[in-house]
Amino acid sequence: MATTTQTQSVPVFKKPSLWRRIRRYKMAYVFIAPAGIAMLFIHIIPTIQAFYMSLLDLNVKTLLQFLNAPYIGFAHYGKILGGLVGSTDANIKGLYQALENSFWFTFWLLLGTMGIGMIMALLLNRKFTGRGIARTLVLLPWVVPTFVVGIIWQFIWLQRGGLMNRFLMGVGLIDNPISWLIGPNARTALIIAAIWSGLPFNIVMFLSSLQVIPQDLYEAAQMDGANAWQRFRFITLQFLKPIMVITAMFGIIFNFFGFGPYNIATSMFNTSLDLGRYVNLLQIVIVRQTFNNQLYGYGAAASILMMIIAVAAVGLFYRLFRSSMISEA
Amino acid sequence: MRKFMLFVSIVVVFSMLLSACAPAATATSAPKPTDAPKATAVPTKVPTAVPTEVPTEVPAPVEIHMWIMPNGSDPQGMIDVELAAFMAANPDIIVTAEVVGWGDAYGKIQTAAQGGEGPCVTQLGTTWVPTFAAMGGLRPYTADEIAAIGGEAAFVAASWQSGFTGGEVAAMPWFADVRALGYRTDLLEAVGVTPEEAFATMDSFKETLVKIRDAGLVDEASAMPIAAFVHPGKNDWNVWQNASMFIWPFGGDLLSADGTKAAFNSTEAVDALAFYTSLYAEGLTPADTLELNSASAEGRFHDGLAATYFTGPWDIVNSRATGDGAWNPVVSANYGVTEIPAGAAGQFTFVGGSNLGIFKSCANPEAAARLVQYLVSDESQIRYATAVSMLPATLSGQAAFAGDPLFDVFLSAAAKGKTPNPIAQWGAVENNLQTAIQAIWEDVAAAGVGTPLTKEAIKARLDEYAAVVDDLLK
Repeated sequence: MATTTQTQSVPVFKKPSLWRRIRRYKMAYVFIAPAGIAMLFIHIIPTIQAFYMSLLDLNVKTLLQFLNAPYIGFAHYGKILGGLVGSTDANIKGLYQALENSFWFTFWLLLGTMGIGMIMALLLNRKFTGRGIARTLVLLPWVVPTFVVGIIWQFIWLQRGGLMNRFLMGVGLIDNPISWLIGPNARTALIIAAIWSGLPFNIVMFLSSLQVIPQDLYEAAQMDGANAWQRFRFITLQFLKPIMVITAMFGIIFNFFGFGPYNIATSMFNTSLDLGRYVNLLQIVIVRQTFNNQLYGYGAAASILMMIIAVAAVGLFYRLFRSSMISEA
Repeated sequence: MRKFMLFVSIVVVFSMLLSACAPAATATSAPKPTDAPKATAVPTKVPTAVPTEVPTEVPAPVEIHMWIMPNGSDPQGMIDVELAAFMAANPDIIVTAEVVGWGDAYGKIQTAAQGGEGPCVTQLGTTWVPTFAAMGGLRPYTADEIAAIGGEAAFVAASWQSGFTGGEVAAMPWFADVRALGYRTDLLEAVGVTPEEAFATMDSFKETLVKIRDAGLVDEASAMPIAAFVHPGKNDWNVWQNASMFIWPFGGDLLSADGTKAAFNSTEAVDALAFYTSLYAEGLTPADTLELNSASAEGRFHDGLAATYFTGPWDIVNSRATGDGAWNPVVSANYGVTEIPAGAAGQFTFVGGSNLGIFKSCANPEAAARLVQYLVSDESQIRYATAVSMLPATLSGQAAFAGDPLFDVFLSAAAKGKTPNPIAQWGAVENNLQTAIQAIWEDVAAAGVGTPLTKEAIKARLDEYAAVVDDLLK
C-alpha cells in the first residue's frame, strides 16, 4: 500500500511529442533554418549527387551525359575495395600506396609537432631572460606562407649545395651528397618541413593550457614529496590532455583527410603534378586520378569511401576521448 | 536598456535600407568591367532603345574575348600588339585578351567547354584539343574558313595533326614548340669531336658524352665541373615529352597507330628508356639532374655547367641577348643546336605548341574566326612567334626564319616532328604515361649512380601503367 502511495505521489513526466517540441522551440528552429538550408544546398545535396555519380560510368566519353551516364552499380567500390586483397591495377596500387603514405605522414607529423611542441611549450613556460623574444621567434614559421616554406626547405634539401648535405658532410656523417628531393628520402624531407611549419600552432596551444595550471598544485605536490616526473605526469599532463586530444583530432583531419602539406610539397619538389610514390598523399591522388584520368565516377566512389572512413575515424576518436574533450569544454 | 535596444534596431534598419539603395546608385555611375560585354552582346537592342540617336547603318562593334596562356616574357603586351593590329584592320570587332595561367587554364577551359562562362577564342595546348573537342565544347572550323587560310598544306604537318580530331578541324595551329639538343661548340672541340659526328646517332651521342665526362672539364668562372648532359628528372612538366624523343627514334611509340592501346611498354620503348636512364647511371649527367625541372636544367647549361641539354627555339633569342648576365658569356659565344640524334628507326622530335579554338558558346563565331584567320596570317605569325620565341605553325611563317643557322635546325626538326595521337582520352593517357616515367626516375634515383636500371625493371613499371591506359581506352 505504502508503495502504491509513493508511486502515485511521484509526478509522471511524459516526453512531449515531436510536434510539441518543435512548437516550443520554434524560434530556435527559425534561427538555425538559414544555416540548415545552406547546408542542404552546399553539403547534403552535393554529397547525395556525388554518391549517385559514384554509381555511374562517368568519364571523358560520358561526361556530357553527366547524371545520365551508364549506371554500373557498385563496380567502382568493388574495384577500389578489391585493392585490399591485392590488385594489379596501377591506379588502385597508387591509391593504397597513398593511403599508407598518408598514415605514416600523419603519424610522424603528429608525433613530431605534438612531442616537440610540448617540450618547447614547457621550456617557454619557464621564466628566463628574453622569454618574450623567444616566444615570438618560435611563432615565425607560422607566419611564413606554406608555399614559401616549401621553397625554404628546397634550398635546405638540395642535393647540390643544399644546407643539409653540407652539414652532414661537414660533420663527417656522409661522404657523398644525399638525394632528398627524389626517391625514398623525399618522404622524410617533407615530414620534417611540415613539422617545422606546424610546430608553432602546437606550441601556442600547449602554452595556453600550461598558463592556466594553478601553481599551488605544484607546490602542494612538491610538499607531498612528488618528484619532477610525477608532477609532470599527474598535474601537467592532466591539464594538457584536453588540448592534446583536440590538436590530435585537428591534425588527423587536416593531414590525413585533407590536403595537409600539399602547398609545401608542390613548391619543395617543384611540381604540382605527381608527387611520386614516396610522397603522394591520399587526397592528392584521388584528385589526380579523378580529374587527370577523367574518371569522375571512380573519383566520386573513392571520395565517398574516404568520407565514410573519415566519419568513422572521427566518431571513434570522439568516443575514445570524449571525457577529455568534455572536460576541456 | 529597452530604449537602447530600440535605438540600435532603428539604426540597423536604416543602415540596411541605405545599403540596399546604394548599389543602384553606384551601378549607373561606375559600371563594372564585366558589365561591358553584356552591353555589346545585345547590340540589336541599342537602336530600338534609342532609335533617333544611333544610326542603323553603323552597327555597333562586335566584342569578343580571348584567353591566352603566359606566352613569352610579356604575355599581355605581346598579344595586345597583335590585337591592336587586327582591330585596326577590322574596326567592326573589338577584342580583349586575358592571360590565364597554365595551372588554371585546363580547368577553366573544361568548365567553359561544358557550358560554363567562357570567352569566344581560347589558346589550347596541342594535346588538349581532342579532349575538349570530345566534350563538345569547341566549334569546328568550317570548310570555307579552312580554305581561307590555305588549308592543311599551309601548316607544319605535326601542328596540323594536333588540331585535327574526329574528322574535323577543332583548333587551328597557332605556334609550334619544336625540341632539339643544345650544345657547347668549344667543349666538343676540347674533346676532338665535330657536331656532325657527335650527334649523328644515339650511339655517337653517348660516346661523345662519355668523352666529355672523361675529359673532366671545369667551368673557369665558377671552378665547378661541367656535366656532359643535363636533363630534368621526375618533377617536371616535360617528363614524357623528353622520353618520347628517345622512344620514337628507337622505333617505339606512345600508343598504337589507331590509338586504342598503349605502346609505350614495347621492347623498343623499353630499350629507349634503358638508354635514356643509363645516362644518369653512367655519370654522364650531374648527380642531382633528377631533382631539376626544365627551367633549372636549362639554367645549368646557361651557367656553363653542362655541355648539352634539351632546348627549344626560345633559347636562340636568349643566347643572343648578350650583356644581360642571364647566360655565361662563354656559353653564348659557343652556342649550337642540333636535331635529336637518330635511332634505329630514324630521326624524330617532339612538336608541341598551341592552337586556337572557338567555343560553341561564342555569340559571334564569324568575328572569332576572322580573328583566328588574322593570327595565323604571315604578318601576325612572324611577329608573334618572334615575340614569344616559338616557331610559327605555318610553313610560310617559318620560311621567314630560314637562313638563320640556329633556326634552320628547328625548321628541319619540325618537319620530322611527332605529336601524340589526337584522341579524346589523351589527357588521361598522358597522366599515366607521365606517372610511369616518373616512377622509373624514382627507381633510378633509388638505385643511384653506377647501378643502371635493368630493362626488366623498366618494362615492369611501363606494363603497370600500360594496363591502366588500355583500360581507359576501351
